[in-house]
Amino acid sequence: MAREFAVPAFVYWLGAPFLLARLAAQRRSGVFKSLERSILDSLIQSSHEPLASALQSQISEINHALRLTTKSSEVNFYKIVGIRPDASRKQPLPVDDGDTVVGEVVGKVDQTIVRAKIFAVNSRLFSIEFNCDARPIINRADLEISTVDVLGKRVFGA
Amino acid sequence: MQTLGNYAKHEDQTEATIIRSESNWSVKHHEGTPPDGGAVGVLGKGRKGWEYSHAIPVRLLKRVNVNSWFGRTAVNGTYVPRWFHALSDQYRFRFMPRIWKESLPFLLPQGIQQAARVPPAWIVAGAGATLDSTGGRSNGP
Repeated sequence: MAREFAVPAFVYWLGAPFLLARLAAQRRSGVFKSLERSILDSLIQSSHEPLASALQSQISEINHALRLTTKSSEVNFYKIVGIRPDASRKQPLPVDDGDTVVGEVVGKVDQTIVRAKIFAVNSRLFSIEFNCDARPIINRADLEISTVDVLGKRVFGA
Repeated sequence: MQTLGNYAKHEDQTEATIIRSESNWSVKHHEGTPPDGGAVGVLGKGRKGWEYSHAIPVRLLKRVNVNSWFGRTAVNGTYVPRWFHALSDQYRFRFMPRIWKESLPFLLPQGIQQAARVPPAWIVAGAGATLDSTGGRSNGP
């Protein structure tokens, strides 16, 4: 191991207690924020079977979310067992393996147009990527949905 | 190659010169003085899976217009493995493949992310200054 790497690796382990505390707090307060829940619900309602039931099943298994905002926001969902992510799901999504866009939801909160893409990785629901900084509106449940695309096809809205 | 100036005179009156070449900094020692410190921060350069990690991000350096000459130097970062760069910098994490991100449910807290990006050059300089001052006191009058 290179000498310059030894110091940062040591610093990394200092973060472990903070990460475990954050995980415990999140499990108590619930994984999904209101906006995320609205987007996923609209996707489920617009989906056909067996995709809708598979989404519902996987959402119930998710117990951790990682939220990142740089220029835009991204929310990644995980099923954590112990302290490690678990790849097993009761019901895999009926989509291709690899990186897949399950759906796209476009809506409006106040004057902000929200475009959210929902991604799956290896038939597992994985992330929502927003076109904007979602932090100011993440707790808003009043998303006015204008269009919903599922697996590349428009199923709701003009 | 660009010579940026002389920075030190050793006890034997030989000089060392800071040289910038292809965005790397190095130190040329004249008259056979021993090399020290010039390679810090570039030890991982060219290794597969290693990349440069900035201590002060480019988006801030661009605001004060110093990115071109300060951005990728040993003073502002070091080469680290790609996975460690992603763990310690959410701007890098965003651009990792989703399949990779699926195996990593946590990032470090913001403050510790910044601490993990402290360049070895700063640590070496701090340790050197501490040792130097300690040594000065013990050998004092």
